[in-house]
Amino acid sequence: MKINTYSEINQEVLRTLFRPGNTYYLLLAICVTAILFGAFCWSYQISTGIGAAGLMHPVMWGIYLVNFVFWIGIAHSGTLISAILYLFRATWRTAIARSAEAMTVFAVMIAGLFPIIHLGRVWIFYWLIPYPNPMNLWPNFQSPLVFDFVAVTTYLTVSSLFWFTGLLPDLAIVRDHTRGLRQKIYGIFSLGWVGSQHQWHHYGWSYLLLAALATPLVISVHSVVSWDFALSIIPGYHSTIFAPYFVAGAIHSGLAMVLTLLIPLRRIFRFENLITMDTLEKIAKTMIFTALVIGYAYLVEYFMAWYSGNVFEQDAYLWRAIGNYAPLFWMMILFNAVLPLTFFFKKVRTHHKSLFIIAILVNIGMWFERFVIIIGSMAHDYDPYVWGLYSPSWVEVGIMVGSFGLFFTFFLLFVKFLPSISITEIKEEFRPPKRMDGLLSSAPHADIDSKLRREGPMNRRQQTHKGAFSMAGIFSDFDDVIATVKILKGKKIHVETVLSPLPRPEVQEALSLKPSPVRHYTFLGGVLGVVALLGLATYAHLQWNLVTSGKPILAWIPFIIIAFEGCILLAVLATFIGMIIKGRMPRSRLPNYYDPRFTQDRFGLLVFCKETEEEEVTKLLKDSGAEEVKRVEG
Amino acid sequence: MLRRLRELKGEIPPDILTTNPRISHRFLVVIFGVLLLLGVIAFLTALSGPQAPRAWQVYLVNLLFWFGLSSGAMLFVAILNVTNARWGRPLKRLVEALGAFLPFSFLLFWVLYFGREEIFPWVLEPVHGKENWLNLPFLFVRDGVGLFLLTVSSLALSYYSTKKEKAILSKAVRYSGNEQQGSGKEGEPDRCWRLQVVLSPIVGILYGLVLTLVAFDLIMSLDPHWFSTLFGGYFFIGSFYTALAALVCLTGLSWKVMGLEKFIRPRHFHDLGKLLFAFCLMTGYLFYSQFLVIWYGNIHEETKYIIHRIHQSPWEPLAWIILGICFALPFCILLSRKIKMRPTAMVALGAIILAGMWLERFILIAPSLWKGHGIPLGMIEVLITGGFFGAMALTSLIYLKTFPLLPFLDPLFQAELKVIRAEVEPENTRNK
Repeated sequence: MKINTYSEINQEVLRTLFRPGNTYYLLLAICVTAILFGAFCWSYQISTGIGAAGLMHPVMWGIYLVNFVFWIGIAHSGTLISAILYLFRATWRTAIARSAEAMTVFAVMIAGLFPIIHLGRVWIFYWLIPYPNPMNLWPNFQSPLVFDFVAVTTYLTVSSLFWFTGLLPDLAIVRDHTRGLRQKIYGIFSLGWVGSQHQWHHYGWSYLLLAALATPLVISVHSVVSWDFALSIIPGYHSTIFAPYFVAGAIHSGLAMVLTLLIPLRRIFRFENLITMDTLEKIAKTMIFTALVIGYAYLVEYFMAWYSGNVFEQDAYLWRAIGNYAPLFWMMILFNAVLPLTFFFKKVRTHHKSLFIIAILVNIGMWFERFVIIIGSMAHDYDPYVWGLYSPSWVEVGIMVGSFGLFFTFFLLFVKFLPSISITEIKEEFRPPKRMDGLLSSAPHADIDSKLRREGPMNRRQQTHKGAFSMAGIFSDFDDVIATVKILKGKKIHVETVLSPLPRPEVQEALSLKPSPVRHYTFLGGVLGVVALLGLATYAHLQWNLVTSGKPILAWIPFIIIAFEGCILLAVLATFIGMIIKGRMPRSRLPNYYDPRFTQDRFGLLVFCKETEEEEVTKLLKDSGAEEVKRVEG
Repeated sequence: MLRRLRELKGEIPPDILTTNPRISHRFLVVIFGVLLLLGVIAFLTALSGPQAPRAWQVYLVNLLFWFGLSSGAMLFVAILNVTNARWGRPLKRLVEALGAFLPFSFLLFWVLYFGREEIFPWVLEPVHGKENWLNLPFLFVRDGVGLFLLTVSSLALSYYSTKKEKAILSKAVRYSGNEQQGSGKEGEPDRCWRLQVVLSPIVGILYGLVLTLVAFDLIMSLDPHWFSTLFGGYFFIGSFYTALAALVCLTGLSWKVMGLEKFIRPRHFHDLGKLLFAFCLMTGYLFYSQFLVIWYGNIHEETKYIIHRIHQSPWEPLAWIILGICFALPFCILLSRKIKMRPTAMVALGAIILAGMWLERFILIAPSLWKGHGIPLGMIEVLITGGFFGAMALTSLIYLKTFPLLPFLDPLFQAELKVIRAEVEPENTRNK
């Protein structure tokens, strides 16, 4: 359907919510079955012991770790698309950002399960959390496994907050299109969002700050995961290039997963006009870049293995190519570094079948890459007498199947309960509404369940204060709003706020808003985070002051990572809190002047006036093109 | 074609196109020429004396620094094209000017042959097991081929960027605008544009591969038993960071001088500042990646190199200074939004970063070669570095003099021009 107006955008995206078909239920059933099977396998492992897994000397890290790295990798491209591309002002990200962020949150949650699954005594996993305890035991903040814990927790928190912040205006849209219990639930989650300029102002700044904070975070998280391996001295693990190599690989596999999810999604939901072939093409081009980086890393690693003259390195890398896991190795090279280069040809990158197939193969190839690195290096390290092979047991495979089931279940639920495309951001790409559009969509606006009676603010609880009141004008033409604001300011009449379905810089300029103070919250949070986590690590190490692995008791070099993650975590929390406070959220009841059409395509102008000015203001608003003018008490 | 130029001429005064800088062109040429001459004389004098190893050492540092800067500049152009970026188009010619040094650096690379015994320790004492790689003929062949390919593709990128504009400009200056030129096919600029689009990823790929090779061969091999897989990546990202700092300097300096205020807005400086900040973080991240892995593994073959540079005298204070100038200082300064939009402050910061990155290349190379006492930073180093700087500045100046200052046939530049016009208009009416 051709989209021209804001209300059409609302309708287009919201029609996918709540009404699933039979295929949906079937897919959901399959995924839930997979989860149940995975849960059964895990319970079996907990009751039988970790020996139910195929882990055997010398390979102590099996596909649990492979899956952990795999899922964290998938999460990365979500943040790339929503945060990094936002900073680069790449407009092609708009239609896919919401789904990509959702993918990130779900993938991180699943990845976080695997270190716990990997534990022998799962029930004492909480010992990894730094808290004062009678044994005076503290985690070793110099261990990469603790970096992992801090980094993944931070990443989960940050990406959830980032996702939620982006969802706030969209949740308000859904709230205004539903009734009853659903409306109440969406109302709670939208924190009473009304779309006033103050809210948009702080929201815009917060979103930018969150994106700017998420970017270094995402690079640090997968670097930290890579350092799980690189900080050892096993040949094939100990390599300085691991951090950027893993980050590039993460983005590569993540983009492939985005394609895997979005190509069916746009087909099923008929979103071809929003998620265009151009978007998919740009994803494919980005994959060329990441494939080249990965190819470069493979080359350099092999060259350096030879150049180093280190017998163990040379043998480890040779064995990868000709040893027991050789088929996986060659498939890895073919699928990751060679196949995506076919995207150089326009025909390959603009046809959704070839995109989908190559995306699936890249996912498989990246999974094999983690297998080859993690298991291949452990199977064949220094001493030939301890070389040994590994193959996953049915328990491990079952848990892996369960993890995929969990991911797709989350995604299926997301797609039916939340708008899978960021409605507000799409609106920003269209021209602001004119009066004619208002006439075109003057019929009751799109509602998911039934027609919403246009009762306006009368249904809301009235607040009465003697004397003071406001006039609310509802406009359908954007230029009229700007003109009216300027006129009112000229007459020194106090404009309280403008309510709009999306942020417009012209309005903010007209209202002369100063740069949002949320960034001070961010800075304070960042500083506090560094101090807090650095202090925690120092305290912990002074309490448990043993020299481990020859490292000094207080080593500032690994503590940098802890401090960095702490900085980002508290900065993000502070930004979010700042945005909530400054936006005067959460609000349980919507204000009297609120009209649900403000999230669709109407603008509200709230003017504070005295008794004497009422006539004049009403006339002014009507002359400027207001459809309705209401008097609002309080 | 000419009609389009006439339209543009209404907005772009011809003197911009023919670059009449407010500082005398001749004056600058003389200054840079003198610097170059002094550098050459200092180098040749030092070679004939006992300080020859020191001369070769600083020659290598400078070659790698300025070559990295130059190719990084061409990478910037390539990235602008590959990403269809619109914001950076007014800066395109300035960046290409920085890349004009590349062919010169290609020639200077071959001069290294004459210092092979002073520079490469494995020439006199071949390293067992690495003779197949670390031998003179193979090194010069592979690096020569790589540098040749990179230089040629970068030059081609510049050429197609300026070809049609230069032709139009010379015709337009000779004939004063009213004639219809019969020649000049409509399809030509499209062909030039498409060639740029095809060449850009090639330049990008060659950049990564060739600079990695150069880093491995000309820096890492100076300590033949040491290795680091990330070293190539660290070198080429650091070079891109250097190129960005140089671009910031050049943009800030030429902004007023070349009369570009109407085309380069504060937001361009803001964007450049943000990019600079990003690559400051990126370079720091790569530095830390290497450092952490080597420190943590604590394997003697790897740590020897690092310890020599950060714990042993005389290099220790220098290492801290470099950390401060290249990473800590730009990080703190570039957090501020206001500073990023002030050209003077950005020029100063860019210059400091350039100095810091030069010292960074110095500390990678010199401790491997320098056998004497103290840090070898004296008159020889200053003069030879001045010589390289003079050469770089001269090639950039000549480039800017020869070609139009703004890429007026670039379709994305025309789009950006519309946006700039829309921004400038309300300001003009407000000022009136």
